Amino acid sequence: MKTLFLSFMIGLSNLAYCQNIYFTDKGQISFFSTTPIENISAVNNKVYSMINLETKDIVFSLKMSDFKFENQLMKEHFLENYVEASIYPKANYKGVFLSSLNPDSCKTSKPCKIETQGELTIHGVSQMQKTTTNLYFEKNEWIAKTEFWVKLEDFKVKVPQLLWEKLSEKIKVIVDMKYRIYIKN
Amino acid sequence: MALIFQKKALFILFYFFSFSIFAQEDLMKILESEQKPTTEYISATFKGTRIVNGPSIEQPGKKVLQFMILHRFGSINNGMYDFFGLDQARIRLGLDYGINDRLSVGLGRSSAYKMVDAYIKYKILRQSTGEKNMPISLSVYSDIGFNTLNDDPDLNERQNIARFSYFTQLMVARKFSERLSFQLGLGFVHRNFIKNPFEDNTVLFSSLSGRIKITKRFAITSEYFVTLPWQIKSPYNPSLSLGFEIETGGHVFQMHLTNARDMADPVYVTETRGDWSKGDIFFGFNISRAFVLGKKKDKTW
Repeated sequence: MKTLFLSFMIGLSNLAYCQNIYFTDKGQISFFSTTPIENISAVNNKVYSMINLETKDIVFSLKMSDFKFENQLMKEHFLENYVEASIYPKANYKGVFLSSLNPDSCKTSKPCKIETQGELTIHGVSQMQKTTTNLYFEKNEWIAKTEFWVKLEDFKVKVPQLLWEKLSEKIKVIVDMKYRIYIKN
Repeated sequence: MALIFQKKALFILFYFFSFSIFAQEDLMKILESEQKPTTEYISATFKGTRIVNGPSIEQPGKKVLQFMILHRFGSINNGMYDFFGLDQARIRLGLDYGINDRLSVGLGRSSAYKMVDAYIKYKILRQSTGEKNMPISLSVYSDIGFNTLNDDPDLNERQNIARFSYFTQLMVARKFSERLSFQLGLGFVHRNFIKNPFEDNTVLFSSLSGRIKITKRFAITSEYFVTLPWQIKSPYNPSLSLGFEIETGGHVFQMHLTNARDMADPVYVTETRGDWSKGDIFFGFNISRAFVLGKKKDKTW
């Protein structure tokens, strides 16, 4: 009887734990480099991300080679010379929401602005990153949007000082996510 | 009895406590377990669509128009009088267009025989790792050239069909590491008209090319074309080139020393006169500029 009760409790806790997790494998992260000579942008539509409402954890993982550029040469250059994707194929983020997420108070008409703080890893270098995320809950999905700036220097991405290099030192990153409830396979 | 109960309560407490720790620490692990295996196509086996003279397995890329200038100066052993060949020049101007990531077409105009040529290149296999594992890349390249010289009496007395020559090569390449790539080629050249009756109209050849990356932006390349020895006669030699590549983002600048002075596809295979042992070699460079056509104006992101 006691064993039954125990297994029931474990099952319940497992269920509760899964219900608190929201997931996406089609998140969108794009970046923009703006200089007077040339604007470069790329978009990644295969970003994996999870949020745990209970623990307020948020994680991201993306593959550098999933970034789409307007030009094959740009992509080659990005992967080979800037982010060195053969050594560091992924970029990750591990963070926490600094206040709690409540589906009832974050509506389309009035999105919540929540601070997130965590560790962003690009090019094998981890940096603390603090951003404000706009979130709302609609039709059983969490929609999250944020943007922040990344300094290439902070992540040891070297940009040679040649006249024909047209890359800005500060890159704007735009994050656009749509999470649904996580069902474990 | 009470002790046993306490132990159990402790166990349950401990269990839930450890579980919540687990949940916090391993959200990243759960996420990573969800990431599906994908196929990674190997990029930049070579940096240019041509290694020196000969084609590489690389394509310009979808909807990319590439303008390429191949330039060779005169023979270095002419010495100071000719400023080591810099007084003279031969050239091939080319336009390459990527229809998609696998198929490209191109046009060229060379000083050798004032030749106009057109080619098609198709990437049959792409080297990849991950879910789909392919150890090599395989491409086929086929070029047709038309000799437009108007002062060659042998050609002038013949039909125009005599002015055509053909070049086809199958190329197998592998990027062994970030630094090292090799390409092996096998092909044939067919010339509708040849001046030396002891040569063959159809010449089989093979090629070996390599690239060694030294730093992020510099690489050493080499290329060797050899034919069956009895098919072409003296004074023609196999062509050997040594090059140095500088990558500047969107541009590749290739400089080389070669004994093949002409850059039209059939000519460097069958009519390379230069001789490395006599210093009868040529300094040259290739530059290319890529233009992206069909840019999307309304960016949805």
